[in-house]
Amino acid sequence: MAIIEAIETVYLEADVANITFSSLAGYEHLELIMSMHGTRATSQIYTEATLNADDGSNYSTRRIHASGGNLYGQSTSSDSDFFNNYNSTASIGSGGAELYSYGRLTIYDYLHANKNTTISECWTTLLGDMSYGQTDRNIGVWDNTAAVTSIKLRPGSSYNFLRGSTITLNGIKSS
Amino acid sequence: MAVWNVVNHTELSSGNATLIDVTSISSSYDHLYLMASMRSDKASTTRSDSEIQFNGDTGNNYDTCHLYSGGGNVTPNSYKQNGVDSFDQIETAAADCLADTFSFLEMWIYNYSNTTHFKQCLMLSGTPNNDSAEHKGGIKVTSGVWSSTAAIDRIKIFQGSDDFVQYSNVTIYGINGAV
Repeated sequence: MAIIEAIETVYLEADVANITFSSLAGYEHLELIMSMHGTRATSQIYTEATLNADDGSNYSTRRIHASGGNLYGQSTSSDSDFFNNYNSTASIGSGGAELYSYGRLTIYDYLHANKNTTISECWTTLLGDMSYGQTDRNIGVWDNTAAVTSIKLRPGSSYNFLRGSTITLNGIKSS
Repeated sequence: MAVWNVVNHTELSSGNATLIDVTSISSSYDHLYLMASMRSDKASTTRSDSEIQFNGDTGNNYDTCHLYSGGGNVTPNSYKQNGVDSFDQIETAAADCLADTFSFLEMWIYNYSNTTHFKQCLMLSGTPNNDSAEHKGGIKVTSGVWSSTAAIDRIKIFQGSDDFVQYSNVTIYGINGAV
């Protein structure tokens, strides 16, 4: 039996307001591999994440951010989702149609009843001509020890994910 | 042949200064990969350090280069440790961190059984917290080298003077390439 299994891949055939994964049981850790693009016409969007449909102020995120000559740390807490505005995502208004942002999100010990759920993420957006780009290393905690039964990705500010965005959910076993 | 294989999985049933001390690791993989979830009982702080040694080597044969952010809106710090006796300063949540919150560690040990090269490692560790102040949580990206050509057959993760709390765990994976 494979240690890493692809649980589900979502390829957007049409623009959507959010993406939810709800078949999660049976692994030690989860991993999301994301290629994302937004529909916002004037600027970028943000790819936010919530667990178990919890929209309460229970999420905290920290990051190292690099974009061009900018390099800084940042943190936020008591948020209603992971990432706040930390993982800027290519959209119609930034990066054009060809650029998709890439992310790898790991969710550790997501079934453990004695641990808050901890996550980390590598996120990148880069145009080949270097006119637009950023790299983020994000970590976070959901202040809840419940087993994670669903993961929801949503673009901030009521925009949509663009057709063509692709997300694969992997399960990682420990035995 | 499976690409990913579980070499060892350990979860502490009670507090202990050593998270794992796994011996007799097979040399049959190309690389090793660790995923750990750790919390220290160190008092009066939100963050502590874990250490890693190979093959029981306590000599000054470990070098690291860290990129670190404490989460404040300031430029991250980079620093190195040369000739020390372990891979030190792995991010580890401590007693004043948000309750029930554990740090993570992901570690690649490349070509661990090669007997010609020193051993290169990449470590990603982090302490999330609900306190946004600088240094109340931390993110590290760390490169490390163990200056030994010996094949790695033993990995120890430990703390100097504090204990890992119950439920701290680690899984060691053996990674195969194509035959």
